[in-house]
Amino acid sequence: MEDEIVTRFRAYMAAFNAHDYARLVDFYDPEVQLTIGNGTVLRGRQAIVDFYTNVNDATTRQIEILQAWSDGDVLAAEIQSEFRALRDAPDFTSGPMLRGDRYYLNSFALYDLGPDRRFTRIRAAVFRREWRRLADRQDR
Amino acid sequence: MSHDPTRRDILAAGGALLALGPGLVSAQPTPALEPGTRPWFERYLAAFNGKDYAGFSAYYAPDVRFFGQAATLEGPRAIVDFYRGVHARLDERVDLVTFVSGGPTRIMAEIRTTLVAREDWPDFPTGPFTRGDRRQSLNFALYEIADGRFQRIRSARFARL
Repeated sequence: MEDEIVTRFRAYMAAFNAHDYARLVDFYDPEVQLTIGNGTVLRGRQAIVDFYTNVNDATTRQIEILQAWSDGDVLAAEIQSEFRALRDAPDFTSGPMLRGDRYYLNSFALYDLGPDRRFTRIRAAVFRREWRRLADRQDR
Repeated sequence: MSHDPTRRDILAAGGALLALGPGLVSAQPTPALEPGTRPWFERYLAAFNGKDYAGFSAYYAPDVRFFGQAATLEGPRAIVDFYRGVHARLDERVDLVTFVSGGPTRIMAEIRTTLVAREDWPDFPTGPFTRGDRRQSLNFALYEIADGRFQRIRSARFARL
């Protein structure tokens, strides 16, 4: 039977993938700190929601949980993210994207849990990254 | 017919193990430490920091695959050979910051790695070193375990310190 913390993590990712920010914030501690890929630290629920609202304006991101487990204090996860450009996104954090481009990240993430099991700190390290440009796919 | 091992048997067995080559003696970690637990993993790191090649390579499955920051390697011998080469030119220390056990099959570890160059190494894979350079990084490493040994090790850099 799956650990309750992991089940909750799956619900968190489902809310993330659905862009359900009202539901998403409940998974975060009010003082949550999230370190994004370029090292920037987002502090607090609203900062995270604002960041992802902006990202999801030009790109859509779907996260798949490849594996996850927890010892009760920290949750560890291997996740795969797919970013797809809905329109040209010259300011995308990992590099410019043209509409239809896809960008994949395979990451290892650590989620620190508070006493109420909300996330107090979220950090991810990218293991592999891969661009799949629309132009490359059309050339084939 | 079985018999209690004689001194000669024991010496012969030791000779056979030595014939495998330094760093590749296939001794199992002490059974008292359960694979996937923090003490078991800490002993692996201690062996690594102590340049105990036989000790840390005993944690590797024969078909282990290693995806590190500086190299992708397959098999215990390749990993040991790689680190012997690194340790000849750099002092390396790893410290455990966060440990999350997923039971006997997987571990996620946050590891602080400190490298100090004992000599110039201009073509080091993650960036050139000049003698005396000190470089620290935080890495998240995922260890997948089968039958009490690492089968796949993957490391991702979280931050340079």
